[in-house]
Amino acid sequence: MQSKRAEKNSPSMALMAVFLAYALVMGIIENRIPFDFFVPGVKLGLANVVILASIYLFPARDALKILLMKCLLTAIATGTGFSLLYSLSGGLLSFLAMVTLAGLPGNPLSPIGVSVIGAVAHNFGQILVASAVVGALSVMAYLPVLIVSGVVTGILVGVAAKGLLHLARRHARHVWKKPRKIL
Amino acid sequence: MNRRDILIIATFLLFAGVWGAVKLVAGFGDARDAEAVAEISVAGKIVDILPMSGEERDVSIVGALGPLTVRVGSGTAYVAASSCPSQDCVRAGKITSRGQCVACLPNRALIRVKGGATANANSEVDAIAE
Repeated sequence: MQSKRAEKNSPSMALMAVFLAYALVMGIIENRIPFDFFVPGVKLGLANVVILASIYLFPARDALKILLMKCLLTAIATGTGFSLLYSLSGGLLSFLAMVTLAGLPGNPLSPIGVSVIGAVAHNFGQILVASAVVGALSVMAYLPVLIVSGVVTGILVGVAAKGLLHLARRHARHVWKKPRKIL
Repeated sequence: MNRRDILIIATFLLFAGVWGAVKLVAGFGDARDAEAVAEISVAGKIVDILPMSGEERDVSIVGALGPLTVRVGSGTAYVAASSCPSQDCVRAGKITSRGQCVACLPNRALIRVKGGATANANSEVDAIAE
């Protein structure tokens, strides 16, 4: 009985694994194709396409599992201890903002708006940690730059996530019995 | 993208624009007599302060991860070499004007310009680098 209910409410382990794999591949692609021509260190946040789509498709706790696994596995594969700290600080703040906004009744924001706020929240979380790490608040002076870059990357990621959501709803309709209404 | 999305995007851009403009205007009133210096700190502790005028010279500092070479002189300061894996601090390039900074997060190092003239509106953006 218990397992039957779990089956109904959450996506299969296989689907979550597919999404986690998507997120990891996005991370690898991003490492290979740097996007930081204008501001070194700024990232496009391709993996966020998958996280954002997961928020719309899966229950929040399952989307959170995908995010945490993605941060952990990326850090083990490519990063240092510090990079886990940065990706978690930005990732969790961004996740919290996006889950809250995507879950609002009546969907006041489209995935693009949710993505923009998520990207800005991500950058804000990272600059907070960066300030603490170098021990100087003057790093905050770059917040305007990071807000603008968050808006730009947020729009791009939002458009991509919308595309992914359309595909997911078209090709795997049987998986999501009651897909959350979007757009 | 609906109207509320556009409103949120516009709010963010307006906020960033106003902040940038205020910073720029605030800079004009300040005295320019002080000589520009590069202040180097690691984990919040100042390890060196160097005038940015004069010939370029290298300063070796010990970061949290390993050594870091900062080159200061000819009105600029930049990270010439770093022991960090990402090298974003090296790629961040030169800083010249007051208020600008380059950070190397793995090394917990921060180089910032104090005193001297402020940045122009069209000055290049430098970076927070991991």
